[in-house]
Amino acid sequence: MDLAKKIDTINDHPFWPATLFICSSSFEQRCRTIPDAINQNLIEKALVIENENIEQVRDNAQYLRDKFTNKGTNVRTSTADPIKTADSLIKAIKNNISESSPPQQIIVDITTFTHESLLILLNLLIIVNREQDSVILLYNSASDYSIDSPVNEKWLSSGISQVRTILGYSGDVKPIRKTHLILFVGYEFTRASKLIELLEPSTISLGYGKPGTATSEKHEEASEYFHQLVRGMAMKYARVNSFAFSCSDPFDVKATILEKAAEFNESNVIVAPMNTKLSTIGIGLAAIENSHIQLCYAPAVQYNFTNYSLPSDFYYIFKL
Amino acid sequence: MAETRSLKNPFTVTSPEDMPATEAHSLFVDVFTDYPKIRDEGHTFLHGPRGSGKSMMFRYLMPDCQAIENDCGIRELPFYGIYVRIKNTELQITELQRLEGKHASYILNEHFMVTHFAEIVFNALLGECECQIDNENKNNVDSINNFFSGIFERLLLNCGWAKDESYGYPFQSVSDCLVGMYGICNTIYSQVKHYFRKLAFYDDIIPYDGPLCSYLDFLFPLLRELRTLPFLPAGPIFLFIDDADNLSMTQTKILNSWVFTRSSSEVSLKISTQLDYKTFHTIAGKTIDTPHDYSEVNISTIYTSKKNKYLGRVKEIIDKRLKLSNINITSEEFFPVNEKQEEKILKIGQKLREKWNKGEGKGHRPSDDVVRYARVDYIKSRAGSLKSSHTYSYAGFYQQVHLSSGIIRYFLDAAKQMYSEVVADGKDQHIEFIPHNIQNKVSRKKAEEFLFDELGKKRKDQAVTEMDDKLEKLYNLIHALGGLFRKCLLSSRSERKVFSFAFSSQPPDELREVIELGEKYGYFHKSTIGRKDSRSGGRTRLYILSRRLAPIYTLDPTGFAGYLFIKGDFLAEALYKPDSLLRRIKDPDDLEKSVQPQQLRLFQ
Repeated sequence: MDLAKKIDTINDHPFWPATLFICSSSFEQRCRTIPDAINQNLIEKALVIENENIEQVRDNAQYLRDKFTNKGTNVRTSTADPIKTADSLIKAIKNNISESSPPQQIIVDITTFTHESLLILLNLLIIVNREQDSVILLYNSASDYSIDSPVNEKWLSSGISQVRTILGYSGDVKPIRKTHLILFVGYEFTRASKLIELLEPSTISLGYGKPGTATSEKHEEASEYFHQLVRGMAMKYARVNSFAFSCSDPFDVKATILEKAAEFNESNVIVAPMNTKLSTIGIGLAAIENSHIQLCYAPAVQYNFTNYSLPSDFYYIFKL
Repeated sequence: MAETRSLKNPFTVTSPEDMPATEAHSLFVDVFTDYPKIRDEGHTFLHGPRGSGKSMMFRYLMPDCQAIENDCGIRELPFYGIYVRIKNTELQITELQRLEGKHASYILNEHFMVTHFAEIVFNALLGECECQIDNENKNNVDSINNFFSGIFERLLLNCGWAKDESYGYPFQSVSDCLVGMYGICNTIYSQVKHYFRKLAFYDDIIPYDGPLCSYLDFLFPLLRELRTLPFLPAGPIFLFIDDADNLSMTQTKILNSWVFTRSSSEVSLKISTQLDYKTFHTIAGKTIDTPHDYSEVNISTIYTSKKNKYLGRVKEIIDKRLKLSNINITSEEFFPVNEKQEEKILKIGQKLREKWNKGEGKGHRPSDDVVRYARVDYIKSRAGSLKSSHTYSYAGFYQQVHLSSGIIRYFLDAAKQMYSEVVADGKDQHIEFIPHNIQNKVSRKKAEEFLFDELGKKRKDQAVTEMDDKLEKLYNLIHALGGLFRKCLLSSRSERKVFSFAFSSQPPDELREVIELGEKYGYFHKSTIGRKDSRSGGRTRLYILSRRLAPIYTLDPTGFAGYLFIKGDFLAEALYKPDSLLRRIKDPDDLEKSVQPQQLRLFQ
């Protein structure tokens, strides 16, 4: 797969034009980065995903709708209602792609989707994907998270209102088996800790970013710091092992998870995505290939709206 | 003095589910005098916060532990316990939301639950085969073969199961038969899970053509007939259903419908919750009630209203753990007080005695005044010109017990951390006590973690969700109550050790909801008190702030303290402007005028 590329070269890539461009609005300014960089003439139709239960996304949702004008369709989802999210995405996909459609070049800016909606979309795209179609995923990395905060004070979100399985990824859980939790921790120390407390796994595999794969140098230092915090906390509850994963290569993440799941094949394997959307795609691909793996999602109660992230000048690209 | 030392942390908390029987049996302290209903025949709900010992009780009641306790085989036990842990994402899968209000939701959910439970039952019995059951005894083998063909298969066929092979019948051993039955249940369970997966991305109704097992048609008669097997007790089957809060609303109603059947002389359901059980309605819209349908135990209520019970229990547990770790000293010696501080408090106590003897006391006896005022007077003296109330030490076994607020896990967690810190200091390989400064440091840190980790970062931004809004109000309420109780402590009123409140007037719904949320998170416990005034009589609800928060507001956590009667509207202001409310009470002695119209009553 391609490494990070400069955002100002995005229009030069041979994957254009897109018959369908999908992006998600957000309170993060990164939701605008790739749409702003794209030549609008290279897009035939666009879907703008909007979480209707989060007020802080509305301004950017309007901005994106205005950008795509009559090419764009708003798709309303909800972090509180995964069935609504799925049904809205299904309807939007069906309206644009059918069995008799000409070959589709679907391009998705995955940057600011929620983990849950991204995984649902991924599953849907794989279901509808025909041999003649292409699905390309784009990701704008962040130059900083929890802007300007020192590492030990960084926070992106906090609190867990509930834990639920992700629609389409319920796994094959057997009641007599122990639980093995695979956790990809980024900055979300308190939520990861709470998740461990709620799920009470017997064993945990804690992922930390492989050196050199972070989407920015700043993230490497933070990744190590938070990994140690979660590890210390997790050891109160379960036997913990740590493993390295690539923060920027979803196919590497997929392989890592499949390997971990095989290692713990006598347990119910649950994976919780809490790192970059690139790693989340890898998690989704692994769970689709190994349907015994269950994916779970814990919606946050609070977000660091004003200082969540800063866009970088780079994007990542890969083909499903 | 200890004879030998081990650096294995004596306070490690192992999940009871993973604990071997010998360990569970050796660690367990008998609490059933507090909760006799749990061991009796009959459905029971056991409510208590996480860490209060519910799972450990269930573990102890499992056949392997009971066999050790009673020194007998499982056949001789008075009941046969099967543990069913409801894990967070096992039964409550998102796909099931597709069925809500539409299509056979109750039937399919019940089938899912029943087959889930059936797998656990057969797996539990298979575990007995390893050590408790004579696997190849002819009588046992014949009996289980008869059970397989006469009961198990018959029940399944009546539920629409399509038998397509012999599954190895007739079986040559008990374990082979159990494996066969487990395998069939597993196939049926997998079939329905596969069906649910198909629902994920389809809004239309997808037909289900597998068997449908219900509690009354399958699980209950299966369990009832299991009792007739010669290697199992003749007494009732107890299903220990742990963490039933993790069921969905539909599944909770289904479980309630099982309770409603009142079949408890044969199968008793022992259901634990973490105070977040969704409903007591059944699928038919009726409610299950206590004591007709079930008995109920609330651990928090027992341990926050009975003065010395919890203290006694913790001492037993800690003494036992120390002994098992070859640390042959008492809990009090292992968690010593801050001697300098306690000497000062003792001197204050002596002065109070002298004062009482001169006729200037307030209590009935001099010891009443000492218990009530010595420690709080010391804390108050630090707050005055010294302005060093933050130096008050929470060291000492009794303070640590009180800080744990009725939840044994909190004590163990803190103790474990203290022990680890002493080990990390590395000064002494033989740990005979936890230094008071470490006890105090860990207690204060735990208090902050308890408040701030759970309630997240307090910001001035608008709440994004209703939950976020409620959590902010909860934080404000706790802040206001902590401040109020602190003002009580600093005042000259007769009862200064205050940790609870009751409403003198109806609180608004908003306040009530926030308090309920606080109870769910463990910041409050509920109890009741008798109204001694003649106007209303009866009992009223008492809300007790978790003593884990005492270090944040430098409150005295010891003893069972008094309470405030507060007007509902007064406290409702705290949800929005806690600081402004506290600022209005300029003089701590002005407290009563501001807070309540009635004279403060003592707890006892």
